[in-house]
Amino acid sequence: MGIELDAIYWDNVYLDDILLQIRKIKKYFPIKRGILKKTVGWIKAVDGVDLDIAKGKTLGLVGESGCGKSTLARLILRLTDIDEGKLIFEGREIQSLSDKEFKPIRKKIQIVFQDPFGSLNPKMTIGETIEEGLRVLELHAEKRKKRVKELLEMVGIPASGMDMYPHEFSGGQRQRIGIARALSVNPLLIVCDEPVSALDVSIQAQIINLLKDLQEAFGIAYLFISHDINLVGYMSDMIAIMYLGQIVELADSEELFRNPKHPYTNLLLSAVPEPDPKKKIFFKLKRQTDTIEWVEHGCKFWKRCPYASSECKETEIPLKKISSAHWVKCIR
Amino acid sequence: MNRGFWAIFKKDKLGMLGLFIFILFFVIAILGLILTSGRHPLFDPSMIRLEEKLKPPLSHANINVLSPEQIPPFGIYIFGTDELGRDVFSRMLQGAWVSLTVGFVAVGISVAIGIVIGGIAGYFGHYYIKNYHMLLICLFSLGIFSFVKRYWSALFCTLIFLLLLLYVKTKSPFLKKGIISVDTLITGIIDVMLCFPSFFLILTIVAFIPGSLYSIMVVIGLTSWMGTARFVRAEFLSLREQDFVLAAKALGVSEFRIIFRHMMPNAIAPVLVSATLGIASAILTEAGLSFLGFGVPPPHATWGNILADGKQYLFDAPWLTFAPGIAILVVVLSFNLFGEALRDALNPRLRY
Amino acid sequence: MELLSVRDLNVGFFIEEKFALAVRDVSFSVKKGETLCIVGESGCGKTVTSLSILRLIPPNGRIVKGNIHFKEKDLTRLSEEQMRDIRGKEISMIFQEPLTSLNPVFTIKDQIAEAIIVHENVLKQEITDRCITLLKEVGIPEPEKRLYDYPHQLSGGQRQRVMIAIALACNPSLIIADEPTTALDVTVQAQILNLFKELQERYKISLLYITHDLSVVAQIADKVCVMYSGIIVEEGSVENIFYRPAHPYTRGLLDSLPKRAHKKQKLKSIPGVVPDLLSRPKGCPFYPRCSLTKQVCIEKIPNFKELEDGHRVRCHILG
Repeated sequence: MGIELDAIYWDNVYLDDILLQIRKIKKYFPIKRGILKKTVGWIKAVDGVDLDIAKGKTLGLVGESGCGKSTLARLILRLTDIDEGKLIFEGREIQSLSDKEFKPIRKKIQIVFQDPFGSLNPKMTIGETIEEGLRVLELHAEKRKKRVKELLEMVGIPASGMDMYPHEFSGGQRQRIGIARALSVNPLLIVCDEPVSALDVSIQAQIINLLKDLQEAFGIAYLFISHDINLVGYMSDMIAIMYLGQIVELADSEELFRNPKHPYTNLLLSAVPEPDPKKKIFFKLKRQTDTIEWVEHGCKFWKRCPYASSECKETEIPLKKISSAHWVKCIR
Repeated sequence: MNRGFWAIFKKDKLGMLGLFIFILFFVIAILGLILTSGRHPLFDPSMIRLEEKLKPPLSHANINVLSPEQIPPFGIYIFGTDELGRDVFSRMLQGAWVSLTVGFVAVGISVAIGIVIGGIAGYFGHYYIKNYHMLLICLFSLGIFSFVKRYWSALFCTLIFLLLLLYVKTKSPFLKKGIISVDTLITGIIDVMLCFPSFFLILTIVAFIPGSLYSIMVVIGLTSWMGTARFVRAEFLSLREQDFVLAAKALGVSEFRIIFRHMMPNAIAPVLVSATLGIASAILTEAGLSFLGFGVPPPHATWGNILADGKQYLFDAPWLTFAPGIAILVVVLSFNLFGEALRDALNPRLRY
Repeated sequence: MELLSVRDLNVGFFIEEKFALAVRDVSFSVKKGETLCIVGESGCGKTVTSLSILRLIPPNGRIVKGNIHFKEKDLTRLSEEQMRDIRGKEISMIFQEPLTSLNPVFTIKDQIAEAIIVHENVLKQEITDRCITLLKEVGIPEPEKRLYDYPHQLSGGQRQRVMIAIALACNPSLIIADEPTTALDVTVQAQILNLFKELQERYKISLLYITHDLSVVAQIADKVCVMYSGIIVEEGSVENIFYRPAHPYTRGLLDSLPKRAHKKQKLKSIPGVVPDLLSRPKGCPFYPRCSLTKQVCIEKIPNFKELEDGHRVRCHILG
């Protein structure tokens, strides 16, 4: 089976503009019990996800904790092995490449982490941290120093800070350093795994602006992962909603807010508080539940869905196209 | 290691005392080596003066009965003399160097083994050892063992070895699967090693091999790496999930560099602490072995055998036991104090 | 009728042998049945303020100045024993992390019962009944079964509900909630916020709600205090703060929220970083990041100016 070029979601962009195609990707983690570590079940962290990321665009990925969005990020970076499915980067299948073959592609996909404290090595100066990427590019020592300074200035950190250690910087600054490290290898795609959720409100906007500026300047594509649907709406061109390892809705960002189709998207949108005292949250659930219950067959959302029918429980529903830039995984 | 570390360390008065004695011991041991070795050392630890036996500390040498080269420096026995009239101070100096080298070399060996084994368990621990690899290793060692005894059984083992290899090459799902992970195996070995009371293990080994300073060091080193290995394993397990390690992987940094440049500096703090405490226990072990007569062979003085020789004259010449006893106590205590202060100062929870 | 009124509260900490004020001249009051939100970024002193009301600040901290009046009692003057009677009975507290604020080795029932037994003499059977009613109150399904569960068997949202049940156990008149929904998902957060509102309407409990999230403030608050670097920079009704913000910091915070409608525009961010506790500027703490700074801002901390009923702002330039 070759690369399925017909299953492209983006009608408005040419095929050449697709950077990364994710096809039916799966990652199951075994649940082990007992002394013999017998596998008693599987956690389907990522369960057949299809997504396309276009060059220089932002794909937003929204979901609650435990929906598998961070696992998906790791799969894309090949930090975790893929169980099933394909990753096609610039027309080339990369999921089965050996580490050696993957090396030149590795630096084209980078990541920015959520935790500004854990993401920098406490025993290395920030100059050294950023230099690690330049070493991979095999630059000369002098050129490396120069480039480190450039990168730091690009993200708004004075170049004099390169001999300082991470604990001398604030959370926002550390996140900038993390971005500089990702930029050091000239990536085409940066996976941003909740890049601002650990930061103060007034600092968040600075980082968001920085990410947008960098995208404009270098044409980097982002996979922007967040639980904050407003933020994702602001950042992204396309938005994917993830629930229990599956994409339940995928749409152009404006379309999604104007015309949300999946009941889970509706639930999310209605649960997000607006910074306006007149717009109070109001939503309904079939039954009040704080637990995301695991569903083995059929639609993963039926237990919480106010419109669930018996059909939802049994049939596996594919992601259906309903308009030029809108796909929904729902029976209705 | 930065300013924060020193600021905390300086506040610990006992730790500073430990560090001070640590440095003093170092200087004395090196001076001791220089002053007690050579053809005509200034302090001769093996000079026998039968006329001057069991003299108390600070007593003057009887110049009339001694030949000129037998007279100790300054004409006094600082720590007295033993039953053969040897100067205890000179013997203590020689013993200090033994203690120092045994402490450092043994711990050096144990830390090196511990880091490698712990590092493998922590970093590569999740890999499974394929069953046929395990079987091959078992057969291989059985083969070597039986080679010593009988030729025919060695031949038999090699035959099975080759058949197994052929069988696996064709197909066998069970043998290609793994039931033991690297981590399980290594933690198992560590636990088995910890089961033996270490002092008796060392005694047993020392009984089989010719006693010398070097074999003592190696044996102590080979039997005390488990603590370090456990520390390094635990640190590596938590470090390998840290974002900065993942980021380095995403950049394409080589595995070797990730282990030694990114993870090791972060894992070294507890190793340093356990090494310092390990030196203390190595010194103590060596003294114990020498005391029991399994240590460094007699003409060479160590604190342990001075103590052993002195115990017969405990009431007539108490300085023979007190001098090495107090020296061991002070040095071991100072290493422990220093190690504990180091642990407090390196603990990141107290710093940030 | 004011239930809680805090006047000129100053709380300081010994850090590296220096003494620094984490909370400076903070005054506010909470009426019966009202919700006051204290909003601010990390390190602005909002948690210290809430902890000093219950006198639970860490051992290296001191209340330097100020009174805390609660039902005609000055909490700063009570003995430790009298304080214990107030904690949990009159004023109860809910924390951010529902996993660590419940003890993992006791069942849910044990922990709710503990809160009741400490303050009241009740019969054994009565306690079980009360635990069940409390769990029903906070919306936990099948409370009879859940009663004997351990914290790890519950989800994050349910744990926070149990925390609320414990807080409600002795019918307190004030609940202090310190970022109770920050660790939760949005759908769960919405349910917990609704729960707070329901309970408040039913029992007329006052709520002191501490958060960094302006959207949550808009949902739940009646009155808002905006804190920055240990001082209250603006206070007023929720409408005043959101529709007529006066202080440049409040305006900056509101502008820096991403809005989908203005996607093409850049976010208006506040430049600079939050000042460290030990290196705070002498004058208005916000002047290094403010676009309107004048000489007077650098020299002294501004006093409150009254704009309209209850809407006060600490700024030399505006207002």
